[in-house]
Amino acid sequence: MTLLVEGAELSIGRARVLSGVSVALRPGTVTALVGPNGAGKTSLLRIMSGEIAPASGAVRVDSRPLQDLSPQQQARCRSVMTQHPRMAFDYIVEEVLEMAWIHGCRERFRRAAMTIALDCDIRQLVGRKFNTLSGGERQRVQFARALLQIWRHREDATEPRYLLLDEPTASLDVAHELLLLRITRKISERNIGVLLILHDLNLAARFASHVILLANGAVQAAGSPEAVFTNNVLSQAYGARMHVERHERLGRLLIHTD
Amino acid sequence: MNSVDELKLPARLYGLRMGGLALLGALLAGVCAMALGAGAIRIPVLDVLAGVNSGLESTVFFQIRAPRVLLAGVVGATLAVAGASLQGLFRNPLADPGLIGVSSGGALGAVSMIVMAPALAGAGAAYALPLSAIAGSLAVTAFLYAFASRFGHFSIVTILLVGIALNALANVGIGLFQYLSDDAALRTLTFWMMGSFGSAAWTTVLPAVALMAMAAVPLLRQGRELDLLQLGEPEAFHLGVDVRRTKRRVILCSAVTVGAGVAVSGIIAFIGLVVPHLTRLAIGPNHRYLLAGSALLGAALAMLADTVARTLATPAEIPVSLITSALGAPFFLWLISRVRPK
Repeated sequence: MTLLVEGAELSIGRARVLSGVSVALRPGTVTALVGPNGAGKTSLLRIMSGEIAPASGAVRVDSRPLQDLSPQQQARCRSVMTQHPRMAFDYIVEEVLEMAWIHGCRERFRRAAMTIALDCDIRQLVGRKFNTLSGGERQRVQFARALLQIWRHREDATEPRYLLLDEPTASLDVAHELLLLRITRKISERNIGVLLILHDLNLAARFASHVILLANGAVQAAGSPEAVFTNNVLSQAYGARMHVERHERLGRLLIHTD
Repeated sequence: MNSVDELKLPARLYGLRMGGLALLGALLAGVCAMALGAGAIRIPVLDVLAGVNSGLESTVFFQIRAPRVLLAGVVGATLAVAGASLQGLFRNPLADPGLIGVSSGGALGAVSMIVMAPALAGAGAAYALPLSAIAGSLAVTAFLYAFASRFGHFSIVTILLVGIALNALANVGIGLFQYLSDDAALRTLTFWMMGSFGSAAWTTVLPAVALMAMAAVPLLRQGRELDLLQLGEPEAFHLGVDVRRTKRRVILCSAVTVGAGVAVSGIIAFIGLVVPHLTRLAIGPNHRYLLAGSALLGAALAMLADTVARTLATPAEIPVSLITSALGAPFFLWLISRVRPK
């Protein structure tokens, strides 16, 4: 029960984007994908989502090759939140949420949408036009949409699902950033594997159970935050002197630059 | 439980949309009755339908008026549905079969058939003309899509500029054929450039209508896919849409439906642009309602334009495209001022 990438190679044009990347996303974990700009984080996420196929290497979901699943089958077990452009037409937020509803039954949609809208603090946005929202508000709506897609009617549903988020906190204020990350941790307990691309290493250290550090198209380190976030590893990957220390009172790692 | 009650918005929206669709349906019925009655010979529609009236009025009604109104309605509806579908596919409210060259491509296909193989066009006109027009439309749509895809996205400017180029190219072809053709063929060619429902007779109308309807039905069923495409192509895929299949279907079906329309009625400008936009203003952008609403309003508008075309200067006829263009071009300008690139 894993979303697995094995030895993925990818070039875009002449540039080599990923070379020999193997990663695993397990249900029940929050895995942070971190690394400097251009490291290949988004490309890796696109490979994991099935949007692009690696030039060589394999992607397996629950031990089945990803390309054997139809788009509908893939959509039922994983949802993706991309960094988002505008929409050409004036859809209402409600309709944008409904686009993710692949489970039939409108009545259930209303109930699920209401629950998630309350969780994500977008209830007051539901009747607004999507295009009139601010960047952060749109991001919250997209996050809610991704949650709705892998919604199950039963709270205790345990089938493995995957949630892939590309910089979900990029334009969020501090409070909503925390809210979103808390939700990801909570839903990971329902046998959902959450992959987060994050730039803020402190948030990664605080909320992720696993960290994958990507640089120059290759995995530099992977494991628990304590194992990955060390002075040497980070300094080398980012090309800047970085310090990691453990804050005893907060009980978590603090990472800062010189 | 209170929180569930507060999500009443979708129910109200749904009601508004169904109400909007019902209004459009009523409008279509009204326009249809008027279009059947009005003309060079005024016909009491109910009397004729009841069989009370026979003779000249009945003949005019069944042999001339009815096929013409049907053709206008179906061409209008399919142009509007094709326009709405292409706008959805290109994620761009300015895509219109006429503006981006799909109609000209169809006209070029039809014209080349008339000039190069007049015997074939004459004998098998009911099939040969639509097929060559469809081939022309298809070539343009596929090229446009391939061209625009290379830039990764469809900016308003790219599509319209490519459309201008394709329109110009098609006109070069049409002009060349005009130069090559004799007087008789020239009259027919002019017809394609101006657009008219005047040649409608059951023998040509029925095959074309069947083709148009066959291609329009799959488009009407693409509502959800087109909605999801508005999030972006990768996002639509993430939600389970087979994006390539949807694209192919929309391109093929809209080209077929526009091409078949062009073959029997020439180029009818701006309906594919104006109607989806008006419908969106009335019932919102959701394609599951938009496509059906566009079909209703498109049929009504085309029937209305045709009625004006044949009653304004009786017994002469004004080419119907002059009327749709006179209304559509200012509308287009207004639309551009609204959809300024951000």
